[in-house]
Amino acid sequence: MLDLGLAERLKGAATRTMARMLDLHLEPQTPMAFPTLPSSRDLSAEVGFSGRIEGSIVVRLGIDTARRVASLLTRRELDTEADQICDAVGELTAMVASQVWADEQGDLVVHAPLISIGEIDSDPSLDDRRYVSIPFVSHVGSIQIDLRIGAVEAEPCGPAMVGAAEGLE
Amino acid sequence: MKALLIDDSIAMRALERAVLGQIGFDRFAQAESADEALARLDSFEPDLALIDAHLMGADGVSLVERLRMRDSTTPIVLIALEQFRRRAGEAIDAGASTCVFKPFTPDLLSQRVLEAMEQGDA
Repeated sequence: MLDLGLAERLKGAATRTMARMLDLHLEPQTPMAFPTLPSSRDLSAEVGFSGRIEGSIVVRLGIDTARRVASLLTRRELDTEADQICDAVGELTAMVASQVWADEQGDLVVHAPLISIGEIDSDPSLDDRRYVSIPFVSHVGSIQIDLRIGAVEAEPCGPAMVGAAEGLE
Repeated sequence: MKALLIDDSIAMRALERAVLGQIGFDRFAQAESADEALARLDSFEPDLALIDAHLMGADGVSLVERLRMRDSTTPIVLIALEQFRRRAGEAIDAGASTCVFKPFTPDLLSQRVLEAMEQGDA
């Protein structure tokens, strides 16, 4: 079942991050309760977070879209600079992760980004995590963002996570 | 004016350089680690230090403290993720002029840098 409260958090975090850092408008599409699998031409950036909430944010986009996003962030036209493109997408993913839990009062650690290109080797349907997956469209291309929740501590629980935890049941 | 950009993200350093270039900075030194930053501080003598609070293997607050022990006057702007906000007071106490939280607009970063420079001149 889709957690609408969590989907709104993710939408807000993603649109706010891209608008501020890139002056890029993201148009959210219909949220889903399961992730989509990347194609061989996709770049994926995963940022884990841990603390009272554990999980990760995955930002997935085509290589050409990634290059255009990185160019917007660095304010210069990038072409084949793979390290800068991966770094830029990883930084933005970390910002989205931090924004999703911006009002979380407990200790929350946002980990360093992991970047991969192409298909992932795990089958998301086999793990016990819960998902909110939102496709976004923009003038630089489509961007898919997944929020994966692995664990939420029962106590203590602030108001923001009460909503999130209830919706995940 | 000279700025020392301390960030392990090459993309963020490029952004910071572009934003600071718009407000009069024309010479830049870059560092990806705390040790490299401390080494560059003496030789480059910056007018501003921009520090990523989440440098790999280093705590942003302790780096601010170490920079302040070497240089008591250069304005220091700490760039951090939202989760660092509750440590902002600690960073200011350690000697940071101000904190800017990601995601930020270029205008906000420019404004905070200019404010920090003005504080330094006062």
